[in-house]
Amino acid sequence: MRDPSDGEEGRLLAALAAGDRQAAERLVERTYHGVFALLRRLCGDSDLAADLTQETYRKAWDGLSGFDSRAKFSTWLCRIAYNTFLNHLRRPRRLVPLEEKIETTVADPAPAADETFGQIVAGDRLRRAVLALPDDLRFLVTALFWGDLPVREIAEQEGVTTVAIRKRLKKALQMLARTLEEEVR
Amino acid sequence: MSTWTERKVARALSERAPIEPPEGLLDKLKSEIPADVGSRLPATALREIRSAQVVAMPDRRMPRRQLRLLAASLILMLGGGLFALFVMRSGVSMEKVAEEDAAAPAAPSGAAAPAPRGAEPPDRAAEPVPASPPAVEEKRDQALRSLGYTSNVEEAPKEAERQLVSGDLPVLPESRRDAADEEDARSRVQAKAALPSASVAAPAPAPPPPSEPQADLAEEVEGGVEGGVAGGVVGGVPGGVVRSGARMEEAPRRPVVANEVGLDGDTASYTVARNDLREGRLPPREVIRVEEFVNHFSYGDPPPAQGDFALRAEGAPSIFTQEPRTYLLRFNLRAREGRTGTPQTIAEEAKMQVEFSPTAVARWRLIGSEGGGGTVDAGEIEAGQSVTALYEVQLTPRAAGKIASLHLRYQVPVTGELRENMQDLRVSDLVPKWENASPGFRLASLAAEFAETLRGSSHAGDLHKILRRARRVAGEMAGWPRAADVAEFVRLVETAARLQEKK
Repeated sequence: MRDPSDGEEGRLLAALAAGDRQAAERLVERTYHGVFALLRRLCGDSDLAADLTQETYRKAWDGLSGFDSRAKFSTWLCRIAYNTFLNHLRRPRRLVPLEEKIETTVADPAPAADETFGQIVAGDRLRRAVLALPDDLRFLVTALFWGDLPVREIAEQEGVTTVAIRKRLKKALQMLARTLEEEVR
Repeated sequence: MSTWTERKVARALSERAPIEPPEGLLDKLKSEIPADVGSRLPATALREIRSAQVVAMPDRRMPRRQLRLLAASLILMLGGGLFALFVMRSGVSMEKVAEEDAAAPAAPSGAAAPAPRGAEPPDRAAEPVPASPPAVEEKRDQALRSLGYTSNVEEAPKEAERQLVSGDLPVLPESRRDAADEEDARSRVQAKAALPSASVAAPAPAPPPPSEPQADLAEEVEGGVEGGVAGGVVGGVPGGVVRSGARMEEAPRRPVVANEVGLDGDTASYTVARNDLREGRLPPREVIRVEEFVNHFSYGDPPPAQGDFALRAEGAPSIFTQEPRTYLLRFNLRAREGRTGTPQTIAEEAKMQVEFSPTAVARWRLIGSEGGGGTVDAGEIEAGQSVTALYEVQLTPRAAGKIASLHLRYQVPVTGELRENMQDLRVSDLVPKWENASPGFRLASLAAEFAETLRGSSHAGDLHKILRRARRVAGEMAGWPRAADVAEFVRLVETAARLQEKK
């Protein structure tokens, strides 16, 4: 069920359907920041996150016929971004020339450059722990905390109740706490 | 000492430096928008978007942080107010009891006086027999008083608390039964006071011969009122092949807490299976959990008109077997909706238990118990939560009166007050024909049968038959809340049937 309070997105989608290209651009402007941030937190690399963001939108336009209006467009995009990241993980790695790698590092304006070593390590450990979760819990955690999606929208996207989402979240946090605790020991 | 807690993990996940996309990314994304993007939106999505626009409102939602702070403030205020009320009422009830003790000449017949604070539960054997059978609500109040509760249920004596928390149920005294439960009562009086809280695993005897007379039972079922729930009657036993290996437990000769129902509320198994079927493959059997399929759907159970919970019980002939006198029973717990719009836990240390009458029930099984029976940890119940449990029971040839009762025991958050709700299911509430049971009941049965079939269990059914029935139910439930879930269920069954044929 669409959220009636999201009038702006609805108007843009309606305009898009009428062939208004500017509406599509406006939709991209509204959503690309969140998509990029989610992918950046998932993969830990800005350039890779930018590539995956482009891939996400390409898949979204290609798969627009499968857009289920039960969820918001931004929530649907979040799911595509997440799946794009997973597909990237499963892809055979290409070899990165050493020079390119150095360039990437130097050009990377990631906030991690300003963080203390301890924060970087802790953040990395947390990210690894999240990626080690079972799929349904992992998506929930990334969508809620890194994708900034509200519980209600995630529930609509997944086709379950908000109560079920909260129960899963509790389970996920318990698993993460256990994993991180074991690493500390 | 543990350094990582759930709260700390959540905080670590929430704390993060702002991330800005690189320059030029937006332009690249815009340049890659296809020219025909507008024509790619599906017509169904377009209709939904247009209808949503009619009621579209500007987004006035508060930021999440502010919402959380507001919720925390409201909870603190409410907690403080409840605590003050609790303290005040404790003082008032002490005065009232002291006054009553001084003024009352003797205990009136037919009613138990409220227990004074800190007193032991009254001697049950000494209480007089009531003049006429009490109403259901009065019976419930009397049951609570027998546990030592006052009428306001402010503070339970320690004995009653222990009984509730451990899941034990005391046997009701003879004076509290109605005529229809007379036979039950004789076996109850002989039962021990402390009852096991785990599932009963008594060895099942051979089932009674099918040729035994069923006239009394059939008459009682046929003579009931049409409907579907506690008082509803539908007729006949559906056709089908008798399936062996029902694995039902024999109900022992004393009242027993047959099973504790998990309040977990997880439906991940259904989500996983749905995703697999959407992608054109049958889900692996080991991921299928029948109770999670059953609890995925909304069955139209209304929230309570008052109080925190509504309990519901209904039954109709089983679709899993053609054995005589075998019924499916659906028990539902529905919590009231949240009041402040934020997630609320409205019950703690909650336990949902079903108790079968040994004189009415010969054998039973909890549908979806393959994940493990036994004791279930007490859980929390949140506002809006709904839990459904399905049982298959075989009744005794002369079953009459009460078949089972659903008990919910819980602790109210903040005050710690202990409460109990119960709902009986009687033979007269059974529906004679599965086809005329409520749509919600039939959907729950089909969800269970579908799951059993995907699991390849001994209760597996025919997917085409499930599909025909599911289509009918979906048609009846069109326009209900979450009707889309039912429509999707039909598609999934269709897909599964097609995939199975290809194998």
